[in-house]
Amino acid sequence: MSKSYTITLEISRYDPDTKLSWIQTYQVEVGGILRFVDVLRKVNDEQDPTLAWASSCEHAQCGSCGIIVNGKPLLACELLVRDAVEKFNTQKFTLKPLNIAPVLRDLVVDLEKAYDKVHEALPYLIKPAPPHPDGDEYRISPEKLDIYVEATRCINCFCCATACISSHRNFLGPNVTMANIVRLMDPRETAKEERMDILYREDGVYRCHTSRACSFVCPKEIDVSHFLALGKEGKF
Amino acid sequence: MEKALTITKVESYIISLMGKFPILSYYANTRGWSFLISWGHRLAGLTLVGYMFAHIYTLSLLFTPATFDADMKFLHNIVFSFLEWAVAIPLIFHSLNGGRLILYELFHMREDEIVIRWMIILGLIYIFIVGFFFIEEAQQISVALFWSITVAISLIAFLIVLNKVWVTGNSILWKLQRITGAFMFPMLLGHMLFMHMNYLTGHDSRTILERVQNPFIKGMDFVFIIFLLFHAGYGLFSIVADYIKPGPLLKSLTFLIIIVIAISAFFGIRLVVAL
Repeated sequence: MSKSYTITLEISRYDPDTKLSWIQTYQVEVGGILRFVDVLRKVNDEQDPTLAWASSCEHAQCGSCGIIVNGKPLLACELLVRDAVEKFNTQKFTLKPLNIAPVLRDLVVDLEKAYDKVHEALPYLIKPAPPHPDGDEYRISPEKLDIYVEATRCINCFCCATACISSHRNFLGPNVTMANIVRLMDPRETAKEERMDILYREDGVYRCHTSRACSFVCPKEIDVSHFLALGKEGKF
Repeated sequence: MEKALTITKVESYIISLMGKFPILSYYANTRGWSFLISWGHRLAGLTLVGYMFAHIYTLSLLFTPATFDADMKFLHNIVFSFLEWAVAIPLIFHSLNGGRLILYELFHMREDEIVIRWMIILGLIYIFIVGFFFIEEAQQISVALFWSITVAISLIAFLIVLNKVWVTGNSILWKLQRITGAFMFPMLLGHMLFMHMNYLTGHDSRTILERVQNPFIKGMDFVFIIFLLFHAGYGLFSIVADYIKPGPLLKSLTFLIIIVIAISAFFGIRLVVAL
């Protein structure tokens, strides 16, 4: 049996019908190996079915359960209660929605709006190179892949964008900029000029101030600031 | 990628001390120490911009040397000397961190923790030396030799960064920020040291006026003030642009920054040319 905790959650609530915002406190008796998504579900089941929060895969692959816990943007499906108690040295947690898009309700933000920026980076191969004549697939050497494969793990959870010192008012954001850079590094992409235009546009890579908060909070442990710096260095 | 760094006992002690400040430990735990250093860079920059405006004002008193000398005499006490020395702290922090950013962004220096360690060591040494000069007030050095060496180092830093950054596709203003920063790194640190070598170099109107008649010093000061004001203006704009969405407010604030910098440039250049 894992240790039990009585934790206090102070959750930012928002009702779009009345436009009212408030903080609501819940006390929950939970096991240490429960994840925060489980804790929120427990709140729904036992105390308040109106509390809204988002999740989908709950395996840190879709990025839809991003929230801010005690100031740190993270994935609620990855955070165990016992780890949170140890990390934050408290049993009291403030839960807020990410700040990268308007809040729809409580902890749910408008990810479609957030994704509008991702779409600006054209997160696909614009003009893919033709397959190699000897085979039906385009082969990338392991050495080439090693240079950028880390960046391909990005799930667009927007934790980095939430933590970024440059905010997202005049900056595309770390994940969006990296989405462009990873395709600049992909040998299958031939539309390099178009990608360079995105990289160096007015709200492009140079708006990053290298605070490296993106690398610090990334749930997938990607060194985001390294990839952004490659853009500023003029590596492409 | 980054090499793992073993934290020394001293560093661990410093981190634990800083962790006692709730605001520092909050951001260190939720955004990382580099984020806090970035904030420190901003605050230090803003402090230096404020000091720069005050500095242009005090230097404008040189047009009436008697007033300047009287004011300097009034300010020559332990409180103002301490405050003046304290300016060395944001100055060296902003300079070294600017250097660190250039190394990270343009020269692929990813061993950031090692660079931060050197920042702390070099910063402490500099602050100690400046403090020593403040107390002693008795150093002697040839003006020509000191500034020739400092300008040479500044030009080398300027050319290295120019060569590296110019070929990239970044915004031209961003490039100029890096280039002017590289030039001013040795210049500003040298300026602080030189002005406090002894009391006369930075506080006596006759000594200052005699020095600034030299065409080399005049030319150097002219470039210095232009670079400094550009760097300050673009730094202010960068901060504002992080918080204000594109639109009329951002445009108005940008215009305001340009006006303030232009007025400062007018007074600054007038000092260099007319004195």
